[in-house]
Amino acid sequence: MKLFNNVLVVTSLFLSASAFAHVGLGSSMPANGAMLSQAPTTLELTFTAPVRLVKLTMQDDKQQSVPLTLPSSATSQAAFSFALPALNAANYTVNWMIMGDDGHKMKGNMSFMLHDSGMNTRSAPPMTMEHETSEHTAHQ
Amino acid sequence: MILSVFEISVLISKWVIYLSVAAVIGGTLMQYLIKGQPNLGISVTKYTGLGAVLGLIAVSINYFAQVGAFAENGLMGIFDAQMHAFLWPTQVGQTVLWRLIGFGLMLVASGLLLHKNRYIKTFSAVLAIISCLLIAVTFTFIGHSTEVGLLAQGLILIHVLIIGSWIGAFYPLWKLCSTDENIVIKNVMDTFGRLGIVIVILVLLSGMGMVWMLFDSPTELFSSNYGIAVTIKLCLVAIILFIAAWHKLVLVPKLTIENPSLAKQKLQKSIGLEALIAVLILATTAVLSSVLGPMSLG
Ligand SMILES: [Cu+2]
Repeated sequence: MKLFNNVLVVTSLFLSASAFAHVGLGSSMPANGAMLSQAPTTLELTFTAPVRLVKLTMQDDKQQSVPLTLPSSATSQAAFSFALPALNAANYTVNWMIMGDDGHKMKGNMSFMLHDSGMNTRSAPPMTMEHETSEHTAHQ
Repeated sequence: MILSVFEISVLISKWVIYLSVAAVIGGTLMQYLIKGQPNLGISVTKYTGLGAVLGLIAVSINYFAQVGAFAENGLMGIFDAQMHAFLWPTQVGQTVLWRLIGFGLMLVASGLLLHKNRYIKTFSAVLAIISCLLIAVTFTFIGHSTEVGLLAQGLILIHVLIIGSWIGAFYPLWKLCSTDENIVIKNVMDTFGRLGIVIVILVLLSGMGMVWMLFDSPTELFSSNYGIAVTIKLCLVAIILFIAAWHKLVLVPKLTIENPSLAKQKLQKSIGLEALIAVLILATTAVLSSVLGPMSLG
């Protein structure tokens, strides 16, 4: 099962990379697929090159939006940081849409899970849930 | 990979922009090479004027399609005020602005070029050159070369100017083949052929330089979609180079030797084929510069 999962992750990574490889999300805090027992207070997104953030939404699994303030888009930057309100235990998905310095539109998403801190004392091994998809379509 | 209406509009309008840029730059160059051929001068002026008009239309459509793609709000998204406010101050809006100015100047220049007054004629020639430079410079504002650095932007500028002079010259050269004076055809073709060596060297050097900078390893030329698109483009370029060499070494010398009218027909057909491949090259370029991205930036 684990092997199957890994193969799936690798092929999906390869396919998406070979199809639309371009500026994308390099890393994030919390990391994509992270399982947290403590609520994060900031959301940090680091892209592989300077970009302008066009749209950013964060939702839990009940489609409840978490308010985020977008920085001004006057200049492009690679790293973004957002203060988060107090989060409840849930599955969160962050959807981003950016414009690279080449003027191209890219979008994708990443997700992490926040456990109920009282219920989850044993630390589960981090399992990667490959949710990230990025598209390099509509990019001009 | 499913493309939306906007993405398809962006692609097609971009292709028309490329064709217009070629017409404007190549037409301006040919205007000099055919000096003393008034009839031909008129059709080349019409050609640059048409290029300018198509350019103005395609640049506008391209911009609205991009706004629509970013807005993700259906067809009405092209009027999304928020997205216009976002895109206009960025390099996307700047590119649109300077291209509109460039094509606009070319339209004025084409209108004035047929004027009898010598000073107005000179003025319009200067205007045409400024317009070509402006349009070429906009290619350094956006696109994958901007992600790679200043050297890549310099290469793209040279690439656009040179490839435009070459591809855009096919129609005037094709038209030239319908004139009666074989000696004129031969002279212009000879000049163009000598220029061609410089053109080919610069196109190849600037193109290779950009491929070098955008690719991490040569295997990407076959493994990624972007690489495959670049490989297709390179193959088409190889074909066009082969045809150009065939003209220079075989067809043009024949113009003044045996059966000149047959040689002229052959040359015209061959230039037509060259132009067709050039149109395909520009289509490939539009695809690889809009819907595909290089691996090195991922
Ligand atoms: Cu791109």
